[in-house]
Amino acid sequence: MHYTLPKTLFIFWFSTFFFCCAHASEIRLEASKVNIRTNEEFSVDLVVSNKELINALGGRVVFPEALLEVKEIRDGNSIIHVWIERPQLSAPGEIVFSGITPGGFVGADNKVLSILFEAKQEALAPISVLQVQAFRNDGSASEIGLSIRDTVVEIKPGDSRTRKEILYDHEKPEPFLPIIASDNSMFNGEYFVVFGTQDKGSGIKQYEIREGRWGRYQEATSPYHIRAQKLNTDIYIKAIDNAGNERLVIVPAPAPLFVWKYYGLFAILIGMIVVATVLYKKRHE
Amino acid sequence: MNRVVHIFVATFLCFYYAVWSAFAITVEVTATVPGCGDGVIGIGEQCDGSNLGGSSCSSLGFTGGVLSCASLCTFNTTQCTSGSSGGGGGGGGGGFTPIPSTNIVFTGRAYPKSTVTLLKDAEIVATTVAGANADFQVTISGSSGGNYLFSIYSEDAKGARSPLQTFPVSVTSGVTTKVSGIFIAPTIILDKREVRRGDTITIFGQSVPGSEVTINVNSAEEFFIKKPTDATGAYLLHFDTSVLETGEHHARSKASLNGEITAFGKSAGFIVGTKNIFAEVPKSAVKGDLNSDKRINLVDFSIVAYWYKRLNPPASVDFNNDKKVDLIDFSIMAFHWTG
Repeated sequence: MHYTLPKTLFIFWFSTFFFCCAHASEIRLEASKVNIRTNEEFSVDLVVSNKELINALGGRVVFPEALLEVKEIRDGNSIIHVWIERPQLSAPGEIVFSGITPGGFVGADNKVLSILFEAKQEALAPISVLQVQAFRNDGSASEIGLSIRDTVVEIKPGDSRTRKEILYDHEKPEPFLPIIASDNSMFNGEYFVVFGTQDKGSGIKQYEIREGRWGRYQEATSPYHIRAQKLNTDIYIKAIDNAGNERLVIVPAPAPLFVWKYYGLFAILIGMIVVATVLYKKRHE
Repeated sequence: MNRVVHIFVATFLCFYYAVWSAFAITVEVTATVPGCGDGVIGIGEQCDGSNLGGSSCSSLGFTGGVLSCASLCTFNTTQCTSGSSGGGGGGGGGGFTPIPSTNIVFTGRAYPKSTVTLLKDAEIVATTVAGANADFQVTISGSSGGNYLFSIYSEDAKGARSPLQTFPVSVTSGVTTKVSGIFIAPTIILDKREVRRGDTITIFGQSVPGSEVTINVNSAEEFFIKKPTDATGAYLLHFDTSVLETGEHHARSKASLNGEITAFGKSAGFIVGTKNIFAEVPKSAVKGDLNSDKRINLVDFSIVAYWYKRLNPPASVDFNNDKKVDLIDFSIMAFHWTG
């Protein structure tokens, strides 16, 4: 009988450990492929599993730049809804990210971002996540500890052909509603426009803005300092995802020039002038 | 030549009269007092009443539908469609097969006749008013397939707001998804910020009529007191503070009805000390509402983000008073988010 007691205790301890740590809050990196060859693309997802509501998350993903080349960083379907620092290369071999999810998120396998790499050399390539900060949705931003699981990919020799990992995305980014605002602490109190949306596929690549009906679009970030401070021109904002799909939203000018507000009447006037001129010329030919 | 001149002058006069008339009307409209509900789109407003400022579902990036204006002078896009147009046409005689719409239906309980606000991915997509029994239903249409995080909150008769309740929903195109059994946590208000030890502090709020509210007062020893709600959903507790130690305490509440139970709502803090200081009327969206529009959304976020990692931020954006704007401040803002 006394030999079964340690066994019982062991089973009890192991079960407790298993249920404890299997459901602990963690952030981990998951590679899409196990066997990778040089010149081959593969993706690595950053995923969070948590038992308490988290509403703010930030950190850094580091990797050997000589072995892995970043082809794309995707935030499609990310659990982070508003980026403070949109995932991007902050330095060679380092991607920084931070953002919030109002109301918080909880549960298993919440995807934060996805990195598309191309393997460059035969080697073992460690990919790690550092300086992770996660805060509870409790109004006082108490920090929650996340255990970290990094990953290592083994790159084997391959041929010279590049094997791409393709993500099919035919959906536009989500519709969004830009807002014109002003604040004394920004842009010397002048008007700016804020905007932001999500893409459920490949993720947002960039935004472009054009003020007025003509001209070229230029890349922009939110908040965007409006040049036409009289707010007399429409503002065209495009959200473009990594697959090239575009969502265009037009912010009507709050104080349009009457010539644009009544452009229909101007068009009629011009049309009548043209007709009159044509009639005159025909009459005198 | 004279005829051309005559035509031109006549046309110009007609146009000038038309524009002047229209411009005069415009001057009349802009002479009104600004504010949501006055029919004039002011700064910070997307629309006002029936005035959509020339916007439509299409101009906002949707594929079609009917755009309207919600009570907060924000666009109501629930009737806009955004799904990609699939190939129509059935077989046989060339008949048209309608594409089934993608709907998401939310049902649950809030507070009697309260405004219930639904957010999709942190942006307001719909509002509705709960019934006298606190039941509500809100439907949104036209979403694309994908994973969304919906949040919902309500505001009671005294302006106290519930915390955001979030629901991850996986939406399939052409399918109606139902999210039911939502039970919004009670609101909680205290009549005093500080109470003299031994005096009474009044804890009250609102939930579903006929429910039972459990009030938790956090102390070295935790207290749980149950109170029923009345026909208006209101509950009230006079708590004797003689059982509490001097210092800071918190109170929170949850409701139960027919076997369903809410999570605890927002926590309200008070001090047990040597004097009574009555609380001010609760103001909605104070922390994080940097532009004082009673909402905490992308505009406020952008203001805070401007000061991210910058030196000497103003106190208004430093929510935890540590002289810097970092992820902690954003977490506090995210908790109070209203969309």
